[in-house]
Amino acid sequence: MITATLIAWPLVAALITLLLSPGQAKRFAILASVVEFAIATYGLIQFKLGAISGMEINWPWISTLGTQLHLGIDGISWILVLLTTLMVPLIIASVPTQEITSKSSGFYSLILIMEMALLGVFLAKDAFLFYIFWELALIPIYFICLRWGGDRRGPVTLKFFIYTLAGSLLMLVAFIYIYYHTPLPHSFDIQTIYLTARNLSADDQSIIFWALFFAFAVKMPLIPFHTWQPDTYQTAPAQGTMLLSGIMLKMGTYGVLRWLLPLVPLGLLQWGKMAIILSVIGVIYASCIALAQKDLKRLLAYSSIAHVGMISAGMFTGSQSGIQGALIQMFSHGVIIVSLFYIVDIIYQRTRTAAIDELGGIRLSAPIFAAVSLIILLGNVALPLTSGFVGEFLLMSSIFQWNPWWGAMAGISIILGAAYMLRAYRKVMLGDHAIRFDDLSLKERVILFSLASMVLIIGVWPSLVLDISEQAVEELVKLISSQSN
Amino acid sequence: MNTILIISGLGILTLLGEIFKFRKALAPAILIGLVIALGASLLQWQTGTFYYSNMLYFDKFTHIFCVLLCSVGIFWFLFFYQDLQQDEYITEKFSLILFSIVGGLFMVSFNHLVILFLGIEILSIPLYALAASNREDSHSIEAGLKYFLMSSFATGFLLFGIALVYGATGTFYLDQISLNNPSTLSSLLPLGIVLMFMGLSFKVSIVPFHFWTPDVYQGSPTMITSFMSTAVKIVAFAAFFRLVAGIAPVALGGHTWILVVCSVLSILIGNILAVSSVSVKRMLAYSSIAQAGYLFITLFQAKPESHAILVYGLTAYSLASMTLFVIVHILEQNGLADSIQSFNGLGSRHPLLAACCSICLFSLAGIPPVAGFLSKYLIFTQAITGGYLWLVLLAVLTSLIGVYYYFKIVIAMYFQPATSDRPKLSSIVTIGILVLTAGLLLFGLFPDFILRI
Repeated sequence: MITATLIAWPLVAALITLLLSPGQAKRFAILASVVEFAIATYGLIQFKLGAISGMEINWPWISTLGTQLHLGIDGISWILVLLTTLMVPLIIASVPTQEITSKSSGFYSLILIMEMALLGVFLAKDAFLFYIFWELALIPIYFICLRWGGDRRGPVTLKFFIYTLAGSLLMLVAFIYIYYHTPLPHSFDIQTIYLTARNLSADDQSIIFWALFFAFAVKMPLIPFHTWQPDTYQTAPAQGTMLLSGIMLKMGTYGVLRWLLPLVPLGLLQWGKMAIILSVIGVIYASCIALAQKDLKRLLAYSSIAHVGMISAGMFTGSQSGIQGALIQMFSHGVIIVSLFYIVDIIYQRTRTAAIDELGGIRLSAPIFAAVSLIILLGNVALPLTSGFVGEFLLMSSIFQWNPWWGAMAGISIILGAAYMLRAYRKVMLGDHAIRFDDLSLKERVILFSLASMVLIIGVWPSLVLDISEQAVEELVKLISSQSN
Repeated sequence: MNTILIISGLGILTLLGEIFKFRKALAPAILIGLVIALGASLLQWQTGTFYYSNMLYFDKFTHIFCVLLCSVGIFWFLFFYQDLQQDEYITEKFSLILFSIVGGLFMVSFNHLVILFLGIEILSIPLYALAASNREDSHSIEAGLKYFLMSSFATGFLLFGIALVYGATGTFYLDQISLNNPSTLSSLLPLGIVLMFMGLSFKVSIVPFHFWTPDVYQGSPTMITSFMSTAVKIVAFAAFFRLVAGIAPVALGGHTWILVVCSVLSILIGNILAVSSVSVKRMLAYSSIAQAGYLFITLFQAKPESHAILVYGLTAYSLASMTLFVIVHILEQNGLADSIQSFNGLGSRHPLLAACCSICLFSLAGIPPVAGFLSKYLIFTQAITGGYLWLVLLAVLTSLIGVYYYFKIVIAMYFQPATSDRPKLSSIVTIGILVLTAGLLLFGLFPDFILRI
């Protein structure tokens, strides 16, 4: 029942939010998302205590299509559910006070619907249901970007929409193809899909591999399917960017873990190395482009591509450390990128610019802000004792075990990452000419401090996250390797 | 059968409204009559009965389409009766619509090919007059004339086809054509069937018989366009399905490729030409050609029992199409031109209307979880099992073009600044739009209700 509640509550809250005035709507949305987090925490405690049986539901839905309302949760899903429920209250709270009037209650309602769809993606145990939630997540974010975004948002969001829709349609075709190979009566249920897909011929598995890979690669995004992303991040409103980069991006990586790796072991055997090489090339390419960026939002967009490329490379090795590293890095990257985009938004709110060259010397008038930013930024650079380090380390080691040369190539990206992040920090925060910049308000402090403390806590005590997923990852790795050799 | 009688009676009653001066009471009387007609269809739901020396056949298939057609009629009157209340020609317009529905009912219940011809004529002749009913507008007159001329050609083909089929098989009865032994039939039969297909393709506006659609949809008064794009599509597809399902055993064998080619062309040409339309009505006309192309795929494997997907697809399409034309009509009533600019800023001018409009556009574009997605999904899966994977890939690609032009309206509503005031609309129209949009969502999430029919 926990799973059903997790999905139903944001939807109910979203409908209630619509009826309220903008100020009330914001407060109610924060409250609702905190309640959602409480539900998730309660569920997680139950899960740790071993009460898994009550969490799976399997209700009839469209029987003529062989699809059911099948929701379930395991360690892998928990990490993403936790990330989503944790980030959404902070994202809603991050709306600046002066923007409350311009953002109608529909804005908060859309964020809550988005939360529902994202949780649906992470909980669905039925391919058709997964697809429905996957597409449903696109609609609220499209409207958030279209209604409250910056210049040129019309064409930019349309490109984003069509690009990701094209990817997911291929995924749908792949699912239908498997569906028609399931024994009668056909079914979209995850176990049936696993069994059927794994017994297909190597050629079929290769085609399915690429169809699914394309869908997930567009969402992550991996180079060369990333062209929608920097523009969209730049024009979306701050909260939209946080949702996109912090949580929605993880739909792609989660999709690989749940719906790609276990499905096509033969396809993975044949094409897995291509995927890893593509990811590693993407990591270096994105890092190099990030070095040359003049706008903070675009810089973070490319940095995000680099990190996701690393996650993807680690996942496709199919090893325990690669997948565990990917999971903790998904969580850590979610926290860090949301914080970084929040920092950029704070800068933008005060100076009305996000261009690196126009900023400087913020540290002089806002020392606390500069200090917290440094902690989070170091997390992004993967300094030891921050959450970024644990993930990068595990991912690096998995790639290194797979092939030392490509491992070394991927290692370059960490150096490049330090280069572009610290360069940006120096230009924006340090320097002599002080610009007028108010230090953090109480609300901003609460949000940023809690995000920064998460970065540190997970960095010092990574088993907090790793323990949740360990067992599920072991099963997944067993499943992947059981037929590929 | 009772449905036909009730609605014919209503039509005649409406004509008397002018003489006996009860014009004000007409709309409620018609609405009640249509609801009774709908109920009459539901009462006879399962029965398969022949009427009039086997010329009409009422089975479940027929009743489903009777219900659909009556529902379209009910919503049409709900949406437009207020605007027509002051119209000088209210009785004529009302009765023409009712007679047109009667023609549609004949088309969905035909068992005798001449009844099919009669049905098409009864359906179309009122529409020629209605298309030209805005006499001050030269476009409307052009639309009426164009519709009349092109349609006459098409029915000519149909009639010629019927004659050839009769010559080859010696019967007008649909259920007897399929009793013939295929090997002994004359070679006139394929020719006759192709000619009949041409006549019907015109009505569902399938390429290459689509040329009238953009001009007529754009030129006719919007309330008439909304009727044409829903009711006419529904019955023409039903008749087409019935014809194909009836003759498939004897004649369709090697000729399915004709349908496939027409379907592919419609999907391509409809979607591509819609991109550059500035007029919303014209864009919806091209989009309706493309949607007809998708629905056409259900005809390839038409069997009497496989109509559920067609019913679902037509329902989804009609709900969205009706709502969108009503919204265009509302904007026109508020003094705005028929162009995408009229939608500018509707998201802030009237959030509810904009939300409903977006849902309908999402449905036409085929985005889950709205009904339009499932309709496309069902059609495509059926095509895949029939071995038309390439066609599905093409259709998926072109539906991305669809997203582009449907979203032009969404972008105009939420991105462009408002250029005019909040449109005024009556509470009945608001409720009607809400009901139709809710239908789209409900059928999208719980399709079993229709698919189990």
